[in-house]
Amino acid sequence: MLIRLNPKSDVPLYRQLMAQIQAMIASGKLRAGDRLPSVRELAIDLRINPNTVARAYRELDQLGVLEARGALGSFIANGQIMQSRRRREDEFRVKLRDALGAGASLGIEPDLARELFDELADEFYSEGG
Amino acid sequence: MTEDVLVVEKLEKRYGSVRALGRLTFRVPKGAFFGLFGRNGAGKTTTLDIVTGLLMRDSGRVTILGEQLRVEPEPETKARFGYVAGHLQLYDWMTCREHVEFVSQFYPTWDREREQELLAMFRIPLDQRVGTLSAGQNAQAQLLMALAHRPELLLIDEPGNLDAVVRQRLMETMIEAIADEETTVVMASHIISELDGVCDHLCIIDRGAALTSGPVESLAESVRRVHYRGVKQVPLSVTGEGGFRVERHGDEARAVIVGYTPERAEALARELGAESHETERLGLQELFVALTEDRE
Repeated sequence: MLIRLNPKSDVPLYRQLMAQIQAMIASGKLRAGDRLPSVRELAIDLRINPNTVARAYRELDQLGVLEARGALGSFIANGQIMQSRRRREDEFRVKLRDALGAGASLGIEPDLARELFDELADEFYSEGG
Repeated sequence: MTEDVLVVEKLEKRYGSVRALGRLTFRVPKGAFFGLFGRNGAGKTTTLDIVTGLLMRDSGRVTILGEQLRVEPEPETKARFGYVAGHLQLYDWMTCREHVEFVSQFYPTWDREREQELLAMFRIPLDQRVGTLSAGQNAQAQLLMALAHRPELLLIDEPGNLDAVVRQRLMETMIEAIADEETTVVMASHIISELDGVCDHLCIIDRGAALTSGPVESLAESVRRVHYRGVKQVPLSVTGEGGFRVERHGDEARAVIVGYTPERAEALARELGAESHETERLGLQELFVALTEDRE
């Protein structure tokens, strides 16, 4: 697993680590079921604080990208849950932005747009989605 | 990481008329790699000597591994930490083997297997007398004795005389110690760049007081370098409000902003007539320089 971190980047190290692991999954370099190096191994390898690696693993675990199997280590999770929360969020954001753009071109004021969004959201979630 | 393994509050120490420490305060959370940084004479060694009980403080409070210090730590507390420092007095007439054996008796947690691993890692001439060791060998012998009992807290004062290979092994050993056993490391050093990415909490001491202390992450958020492009109106070097210096090279300029916010970077962009700008995090060493260089 070849990981390169840039300490000067505006992105914190744990986030860079998360992004690189996610990129390796996206490009097929890491597959479901692959075992990741232990926190200790990766920390020594990259010469970074083990807490940084642990944090990246923990967040990837919460996103469903990794699966921690106790002493066995951390593994890449199965496909369905692999699409990370962040990516899903980004996708949703793009759709919302499109909708806002459509509203603006119809001359909908920002305050009215917010009002309509809240109204629709209330309606949608009260119906149970 | 909520528990603190070392708390230093309003620590004061004078050597005659010279004030070494003046109301120094910082805390070290469990499991941290804590860097104690400062220029020469800032008070790093004095601080470590006081918290380990080698030196008396004039006033202030020290709590180490839960024990609030009166004079020196109780033997039970002493057995839970390790201290490595260039100026520590060893028993020169013992051979290294005898010295290691002697020291091991004070630590109920001494681990023979670990001792062997460390012996393989560091170059320690076991049959040589301690008094004949070079400074580098002496430091390695101390490291072995500080690490073989698997301390909960490891305090290290500038192993400046270690060669590059040994330094690298030392770093790896400490990373392992943090990963495996939740050891907390407090390291006073001026080779700051080597601790980049490893050190996650710090205290910068300047003339005996803490200039800043806390997570490296929050410090890196608040001190940033900003690059400006398409700069129009600015002299070659100006000092901005809040103490940052702007350096200009052709139509580009850069500034290290202490107390960074996007708004401040924007405001400066307008002042410079810049077309665009981007921010960059500073490495530990650059952070240190940015915070201490103008404080002559």
